[in-house]
Amino acid sequence: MDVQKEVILRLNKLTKNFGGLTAVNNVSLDIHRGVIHGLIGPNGSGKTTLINTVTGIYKASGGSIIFKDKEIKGLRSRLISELGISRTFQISRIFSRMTVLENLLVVAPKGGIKENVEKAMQLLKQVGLEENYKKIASSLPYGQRKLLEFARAVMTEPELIFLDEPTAGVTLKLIEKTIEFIHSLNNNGMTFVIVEHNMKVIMSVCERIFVLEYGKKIAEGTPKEVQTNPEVIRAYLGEERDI
Amino acid sequence: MEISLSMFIQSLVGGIFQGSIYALVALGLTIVFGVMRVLNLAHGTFVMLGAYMTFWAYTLFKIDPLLSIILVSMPALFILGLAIQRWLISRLFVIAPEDFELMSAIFCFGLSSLFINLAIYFWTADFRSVRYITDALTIGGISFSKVRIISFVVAIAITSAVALFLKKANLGIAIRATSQNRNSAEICGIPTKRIFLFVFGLGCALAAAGGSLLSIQYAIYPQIGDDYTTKSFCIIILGGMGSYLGAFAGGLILGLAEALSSLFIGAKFSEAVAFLALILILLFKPTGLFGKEGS
Amino acid sequence: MSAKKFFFMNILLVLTVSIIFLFTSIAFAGKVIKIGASMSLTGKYARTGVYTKNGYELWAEQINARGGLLGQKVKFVVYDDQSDPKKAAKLYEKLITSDKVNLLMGPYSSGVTFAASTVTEKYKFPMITAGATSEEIWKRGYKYVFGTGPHNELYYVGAFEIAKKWGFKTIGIINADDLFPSSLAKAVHKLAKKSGIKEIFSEEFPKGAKDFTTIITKLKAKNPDILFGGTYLPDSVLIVRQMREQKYSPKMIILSVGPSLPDFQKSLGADANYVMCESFWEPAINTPGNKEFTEAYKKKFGAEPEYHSAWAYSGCQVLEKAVKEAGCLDKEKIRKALAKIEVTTLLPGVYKVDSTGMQIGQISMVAQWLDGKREVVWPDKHATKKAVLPVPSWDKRK
Repeated sequence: MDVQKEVILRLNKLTKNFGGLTAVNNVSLDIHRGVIHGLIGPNGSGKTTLINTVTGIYKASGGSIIFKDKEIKGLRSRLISELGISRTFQISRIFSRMTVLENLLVVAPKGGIKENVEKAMQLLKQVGLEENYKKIASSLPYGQRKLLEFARAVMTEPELIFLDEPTAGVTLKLIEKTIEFIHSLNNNGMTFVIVEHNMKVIMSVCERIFVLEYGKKIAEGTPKEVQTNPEVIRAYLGEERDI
Repeated sequence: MEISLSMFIQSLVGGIFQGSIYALVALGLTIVFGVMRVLNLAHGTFVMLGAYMTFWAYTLFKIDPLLSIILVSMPALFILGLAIQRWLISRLFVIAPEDFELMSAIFCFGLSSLFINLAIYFWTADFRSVRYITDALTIGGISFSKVRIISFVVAIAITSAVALFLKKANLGIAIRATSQNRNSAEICGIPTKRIFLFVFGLGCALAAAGGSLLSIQYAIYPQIGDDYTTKSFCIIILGGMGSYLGAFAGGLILGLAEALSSLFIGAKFSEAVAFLALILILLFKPTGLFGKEGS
Repeated sequence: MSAKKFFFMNILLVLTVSIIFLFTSIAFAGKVIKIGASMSLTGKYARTGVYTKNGYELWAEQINARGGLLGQKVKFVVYDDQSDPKKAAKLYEKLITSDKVNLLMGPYSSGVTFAASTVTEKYKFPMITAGATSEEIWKRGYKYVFGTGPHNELYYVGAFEIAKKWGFKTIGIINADDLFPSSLAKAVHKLAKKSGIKEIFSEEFPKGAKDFTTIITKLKAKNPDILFGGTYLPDSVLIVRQMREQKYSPKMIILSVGPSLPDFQKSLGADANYVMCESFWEPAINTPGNKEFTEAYKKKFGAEPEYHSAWAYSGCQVLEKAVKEAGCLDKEKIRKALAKIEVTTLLPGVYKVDSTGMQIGQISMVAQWLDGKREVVWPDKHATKKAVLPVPSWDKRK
C-alpha cells in the first residue's frame, strides 16, 4: 500500500464507554484518502459502535477524532455529515414512506431541482434502481433498500463513506452490484470503511483491514497480513471458521 | 320534515365551504404533530390571533382582508411560531425528552390560556367583525355566499400550495423526511432544528390563514379558536395523525358530516357527529383513514 | 432543569401570587362596609362581566360621595371567577368565611349564579343577582337569593303582543343548546301556545356553530311567519348574514342577546334593520336617574353604558334600599327587607319578588333595529318608534 496517501481520518485513542462497559477501547487508526478499508471482528467487538461514535450518534468518552485536520469529536451528526462523512446502517434507515427518488433528493446539496434530479437518477442507474424511482421505498425488497441507502449516502457528496454490513442478507446478484458500485466510486477517489462479516467480500475488496476484539484493535494490515495474523485467528476461533 | 333535492345540495355546498377551512387549519396541526410530535393544544389560539391580525389590519390600516392573509396574518403568526419554537418548545425538548408529547400538550395548553387572556386584556372580549362582501349568488335555486366562495378558493389554494411545496420543494422533502425519522434525517445532514423552527412557524401561519378567513364570515372574540383546536384534533385523528392528505380529506369529511347530519338528524347533533366519527375510527382503524402503520 | 423541577417552580409561582393576593385583601380591611362578589373578569363572560362590575363600581363611588351606606363608606371586594361556576362557588365561600364581607352581590350569568347561590344559601347570606334570570335558580326553594332582572318567561311577552296584533300565525324556534338560550326557547314555546301561534319548526344548534346554511334551508322550506332565535351575538350575526344570502325573510325576526348589543349593527350594517330583540334597559328611557347614570358612566368609563351596567347599578340600588330598610347589616333583617320592598330603579319596571325571591315586577321591553338605531317599540310608555312589520323581503330593502 502506498504510504504517501493523505490521512483523511485519524482516530487517536478513541474510547466509548456505556456505563461500566467499554465498547471501544483506546482505538487508534488512520484512514487514507482513496483507500477501501475493512473493519472486522467477532460479534460485539465494537465495530458499529465505532462508526456511531465517529459519525456523532454517540458521544466519544475519550480520545480524538481528526477529520481533515479538524477535531470533530462532539459535533452533531448533521455537521459531521456536512463536513463530508456519510454512512449506511446495518438495518437500512431509508425514508420508507417516500419514493425512491425523494430519498435521494432529500439529502441533495443545495442546487436547482433539475440538477438534483439528474444527479439522483444517475446514481439510481448505477445501483440499478432507475426504473423504480417512483416506487415507495418501503415496497423495495431488502437488498434494494440497502442499495438505496448506499446511493443516498453518496448523494450527499461525501469524501468518506462508512458502510455497515452492505451485503448482509443480500442476494448474490445484488452483492455484485454493490461491489461494482464501491469500485466505481473508489476509482473516482472515494474513501470507504466497510464493516462486513462476509470475508470473501472483505478480502477481495479491501486494501487495508482493521480487526477489533472486545473494543480493542488487535491487528491491522493488508488482507494477507491479517489472514495470517495469529491474534486474528485466535479471536475468530470457536466462532466462525470462515477466515 | 321532507327534504328536497335543493335543500340537500344547499347543505352539501355549505358543508364543503365549511370543510375547506377545517382542512386548512387541520393541515397546520397535522404538520406540526407529524414532524415535531408536539400536541399543539394552542392551535386554535393561533386561529384566533390570525383572525385578529386581519381584523386590526382592516380596521386600522384599511388593508383588504384577503391581502392581509398574505401580508399580515400569515407572516405575523409565522414569526410568532418561530419565536415560540426557538425559545420555548425547543427548551422543553431538552427538559423533558422522554415525556415530550405530554409535556408539549401541557405547555401548549398553558400557552393558549395565556394568549387568550392577553387578547381579552388588550383587545377586550368584545365581538369584532370585518364587514366584507355580504351578498350571494343564486344558481338554480342554490345560493352561494360570495364571501364563502372566496374563502373556499383561498383555503383550497393555500392547502394545495402547501401540499405542492411538501411534495416538490427541497425543503418540503426534507420536512417529510424529518417527520418520518428525525435521527436518520439528522444523520443525512438535514438541519432538523431549523426544520422544526420552520414547521412550527408554518403550522401557526396556516392556523392564521384559517382565522383570517373566519374573520370575514363570523364575529370573532378571544375564545373563538377553542372550537378549532378540538375539531382539528378530531380531523387529524380521523385522517391519520401526521397525514397531510388525511387532514385535507378529514376536514372536508367533517364539514360535510356536520352539514348532512344537521339536515337529516338535527343541527344539535352535528357536533356529536365529529366525535362519533372519531370513536368509530379509533375503534376500527386507529391509524386513521390515511394513516400508515408504524413510523 | 428536570421536568419535575419545572412543575414545582410553576406551583411555587402560583403559591406566591396567591399569598400576595391574600395579604393585599387583608390590608384592605378597615372601617368600611365590605361588599363581596365574584365576577367573570376573564373567560367566556369576560366582556359582560366587566360591564357588570362597572355598574357596581359606579354605584359604590356615587354612594360614597353621598356619605356612604348607614354612614359608612362601602368597598367592593371582587374576585375573578374566570366565568367558571365551580370557581365562583369557592370564591363566595372565601368571601363569606375568610374576607368576612358584610354584604354580597351576585356574579354574572345564570350558570355561575346557580352554583354560587348554593354557597350563599348554606351560610344564610342574602345575595342580590344582577346578571342572572334563569328560573332554575329560584326553583330550589332557596330563601336568600333575589332576582332583579325580568325572568325568562317575561322576555317576550311584548313581542307576542305585537305578533298577535299583526295577525301572525306560525313560528319557527331555533336556539343554541346552552342553558340560557334553551330556557328562552322554552319560554317562547309557552308564549306561542298561549297566544295561539302555531310552532311549525324547532331545532337546537350547537353553541358556537359556524354555519347555519342547513337550518336556514329548512326554515325556508317551512316558512313560518315569525322566526325566534335563542342566540348569542356571533350566531345572531351569522344567522342574519346567511338569511340574506339565502334570501330568507320571515315576517318577524326576534333574536336574543345579539341584537341588544351595538356590535350587532356594527357587524351587519343595514342588514341589522328590522331585527327585534328583548331590551332590559335603554339609555333613552325615562326612569328616575337614568340620564344622570348614563352621563356619569360615560364620564367614568369613556363609553356608552350597556344594559348590563345599568342592571348591575339597579341591583345595587335594591341593596341600598334594603339595607336602609333593615337599618343595620343583620343578614336576616336584610333578607326580610328584600322579600317585601318594592324599588324603582333604572330598569323600566319595579323591583318586586315572589316568595321564592324570583323577580316578578320587571318587564322586558321590545326593541327593533330601524335605520341603524335600536328603537324601543314596546311598551308604549317607553316606545321611541313604532314597530315596522312585516319585515320587507331582502330585494325590497334599500
